[in-house]
Amino acid sequence: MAFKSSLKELLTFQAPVEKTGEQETPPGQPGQKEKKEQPEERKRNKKEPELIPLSSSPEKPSRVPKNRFRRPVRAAAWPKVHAPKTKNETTQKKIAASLKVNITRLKEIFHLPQNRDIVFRDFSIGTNPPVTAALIFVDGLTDRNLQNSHVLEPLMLLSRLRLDPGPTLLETVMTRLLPGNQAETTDDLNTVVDAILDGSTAILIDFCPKAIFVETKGWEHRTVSQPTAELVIRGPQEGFTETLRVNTALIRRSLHSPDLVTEFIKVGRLNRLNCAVMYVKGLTDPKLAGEVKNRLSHLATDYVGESGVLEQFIEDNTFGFVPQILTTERPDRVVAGLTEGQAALLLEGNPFALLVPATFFTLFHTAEDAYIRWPYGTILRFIRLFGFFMAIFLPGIYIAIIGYHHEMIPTDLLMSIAAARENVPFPSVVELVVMEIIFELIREAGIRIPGLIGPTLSIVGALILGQAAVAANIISPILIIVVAITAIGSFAVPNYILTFSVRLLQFIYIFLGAVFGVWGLVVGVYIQLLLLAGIKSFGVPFLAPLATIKQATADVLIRGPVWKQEERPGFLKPQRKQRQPKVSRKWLHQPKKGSSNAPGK
Amino acid sequence: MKRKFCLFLLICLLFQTGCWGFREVDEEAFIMILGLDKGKENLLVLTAQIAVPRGMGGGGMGQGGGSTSGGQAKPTMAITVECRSILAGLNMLNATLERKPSLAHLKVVVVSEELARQGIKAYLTQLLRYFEFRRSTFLVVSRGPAQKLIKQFQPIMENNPAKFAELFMGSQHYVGFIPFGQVHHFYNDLRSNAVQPVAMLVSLKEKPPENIPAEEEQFSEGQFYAGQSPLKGGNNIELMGTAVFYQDRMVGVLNGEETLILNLLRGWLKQTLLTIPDPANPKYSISLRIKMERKPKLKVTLSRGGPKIYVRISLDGEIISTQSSINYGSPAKLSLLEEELNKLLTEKTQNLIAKTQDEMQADIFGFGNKARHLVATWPKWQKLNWPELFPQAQTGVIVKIHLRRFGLLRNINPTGAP
Repeated sequence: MAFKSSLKELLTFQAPVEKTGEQETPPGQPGQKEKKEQPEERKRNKKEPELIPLSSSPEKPSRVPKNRFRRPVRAAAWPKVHAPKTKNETTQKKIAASLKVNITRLKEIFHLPQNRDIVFRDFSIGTNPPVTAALIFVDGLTDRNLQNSHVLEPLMLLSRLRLDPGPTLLETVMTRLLPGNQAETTDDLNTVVDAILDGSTAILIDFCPKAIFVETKGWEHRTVSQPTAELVIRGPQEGFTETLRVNTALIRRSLHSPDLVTEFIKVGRLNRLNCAVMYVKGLTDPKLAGEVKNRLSHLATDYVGESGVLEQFIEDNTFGFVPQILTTERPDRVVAGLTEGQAALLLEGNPFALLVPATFFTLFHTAEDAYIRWPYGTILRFIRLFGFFMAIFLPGIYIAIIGYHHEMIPTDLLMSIAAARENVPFPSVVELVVMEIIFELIREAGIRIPGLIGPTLSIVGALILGQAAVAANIISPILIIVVAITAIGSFAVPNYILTFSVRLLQFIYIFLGAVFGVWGLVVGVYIQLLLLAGIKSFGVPFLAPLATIKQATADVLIRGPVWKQEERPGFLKPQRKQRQPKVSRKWLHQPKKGSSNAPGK
Repeated sequence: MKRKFCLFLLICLLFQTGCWGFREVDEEAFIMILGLDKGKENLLVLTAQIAVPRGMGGGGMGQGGGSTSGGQAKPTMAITVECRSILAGLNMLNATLERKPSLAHLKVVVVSEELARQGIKAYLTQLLRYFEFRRSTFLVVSRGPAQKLIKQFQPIMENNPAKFAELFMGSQHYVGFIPFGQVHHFYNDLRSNAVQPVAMLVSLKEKPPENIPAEEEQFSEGQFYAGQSPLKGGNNIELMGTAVFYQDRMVGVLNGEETLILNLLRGWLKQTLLTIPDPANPKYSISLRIKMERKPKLKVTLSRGGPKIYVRISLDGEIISTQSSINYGSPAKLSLLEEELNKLLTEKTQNLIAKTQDEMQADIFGFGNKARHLVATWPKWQKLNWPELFPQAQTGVIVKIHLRRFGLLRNINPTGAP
């Protein structure tokens, strides 16, 4: 039966000649999607035959004059209008029964004589009679020992053993000859191509219209090590690595729940990276998970290289000052987010996970807050918030007070400021801005500086800029203090991306303070709060649960005791609101042994 | 386009307001003390003591930075001008001053007694209206000319006259020989006719009077006016006693001890050290730390014979030193001492009230505020005319002191003998 059908397919197959997509797909080709699209395409064929390949995706918007409003496209119609049309996807192809044909087609797809990465290994399966087969894989992505011992050896040598033959050769191979733990069959050529690029080994067998791909991933990668930016003292010391599967395993390892779902969506039309969307079914708001998947699958760009790029593609407010997605390299942070009702995104080849939705206050949380007892966690959070406000406002407040509100400075301090300033030739504003810029320079150069000459920078920065500039009366010493506190404050902000917005905003507040005084600062804060309140991250107001007051337990500004956090944050709309019952420490209410009265009563 | 234009207009709007007075700290001359004297040719002689930042705060910096300052500059300089009004005088200062004079850090306003006796309302209101002036500034009355006081005044421990003033005038909290005198309170009392304002009394150190009025071979440390106390060394300035005002005119002075009672009656006293002759042996003395037990209870009633004022002062005391060998820790002796103290303080309070009634006719204690309930409406209150009524009032004073602690010695007599 199988042979017959494969022969039929071989007969109906036509050699792939399309390169530009000009050739008409022959009618009656298999593939249901194509069939549906056929009538439309035919109609267009008649009207404007030259424009078939381009107009097959109706790119009407380009013709609409600029000034006119575009009619919004319905969400359901969006994929039709903006569906990514690449060569691989427009023409879905089936695997032919002939090995030769398949190999020519694959070689064509992989541009073979030039492309030296793809290995085609012809061999024959040692059945009687022998059947020719081929192994196709990307050199370097696969584990060669595994391929030799678990793929080639059983197929070439062990197949001589007398075995009960299965219904088809393919099934015999699948069930008896491949000891690999993951092996799948497919009849779709694109799937095979994707699998090969993922690091699997594809096996094509003559007369079989299906391909087998065995999981043989084995490329060089970094092992799990400490996170670089989010270090904690107390808590797990593991960070994500560049391998997606390791990362998902790290998450699943501390969330043993069958409800944890990992979905894969390919992003980037050219680089086609796997992006894992993780959420807890029955807990995460299904609308949230749906929205995340929707945004990912409707991303029409050729290259998404880093989760930072992905973040910029899927965030709501692209001009906002703050990150609206939480980036973390700690699996425990992701797990905590997942159990609260957030969804996580992990991109292949990337040690940073994205947690959505993020709110302003979660940017100040660290994993350690929950691991230490609640008073300490609360104090740490306040210190961080203080550092954040210092970093943003201190230079602005300094310049406003120095310039306009001399009565606010204690007399002694004023005198020492005035005395220090007397020999400084520049206005305070220039002084401050120059110092801030120089500090930014030191910070930027510090990242680039090679490790060996790193200490030089600190000597240059601290001694020459600090000590010498003051001694030379170029800047006043109090200004060094201001700049230093600002710098330290910005380093206390736990979210790396938020520090950038702090550094930027600081200059805006310097301007406001210098031009308008404290009044300007007040106006600035007001506008900034308005802007922040207007932002939404995946449907959640950014200042939740404070602006648009939502139900939340004591884990926003302060970190309440763990046993008191009975409910999940309401703004995430989790399906299970209760995290723990009112009495989570049930051992308190156990009846005592020997006495009849329970202590609770 | 329209949106961008609107945004542009909004930003322009922002620039229409704001402070627009950016001024570096080294472009202003901060006046620390302002002295007001009666002028000879013009209305007013204004003396401004201006801080010199390099001499005041920049000492350490100058050495560290090797700056050009070279040697310690004087911390302050004083400029005197004769002018029509305070602000006119400030304007005139700029004829010799390169920086703009600023009142933002003004700590003390010194008014000479001569000017104060003339009335200071005209000068005070000028300052109060001016935006740089702060009402937390201290108001003091100088017994001599303010100009001389400011020029000769040189604090020894402090470089900064502002700090000196703050600490000096803060001694009210634990000594009580000066009243609590910020301009704000002075002005509040000035506006009301139910209470009369007071100010601190200050003077350069003078020779103590030849014959110290001694009562029973001892003199009390509070019986002096500023400038007369038997002190040698220290700062060449003294702060003791009260200048009593009737409205804006100075009408009299109180010495340190009387000021203490005034502080008690107005509830300003936090604690003080009181030394009295030992009731058993007046050669020796007993020192007590006195605190307010509760705010003094004042009551005013009106009868045919005139108003009656009732005062009840509750004090909390602690014996901290005795010279005689009498054990005041024993209950019998203790109540004896309490009795004696009550008698003494009652007498002093009554004397003080009588003094203000007879000599000054100024209700500086705020009895008038307690008399307001006697009438229901404002016209009736005005008709009642409390300032006129106060000198006729009869007073009843009760002082109750509770001695609760006896210092650090268990047995007060060191030798053990009773």
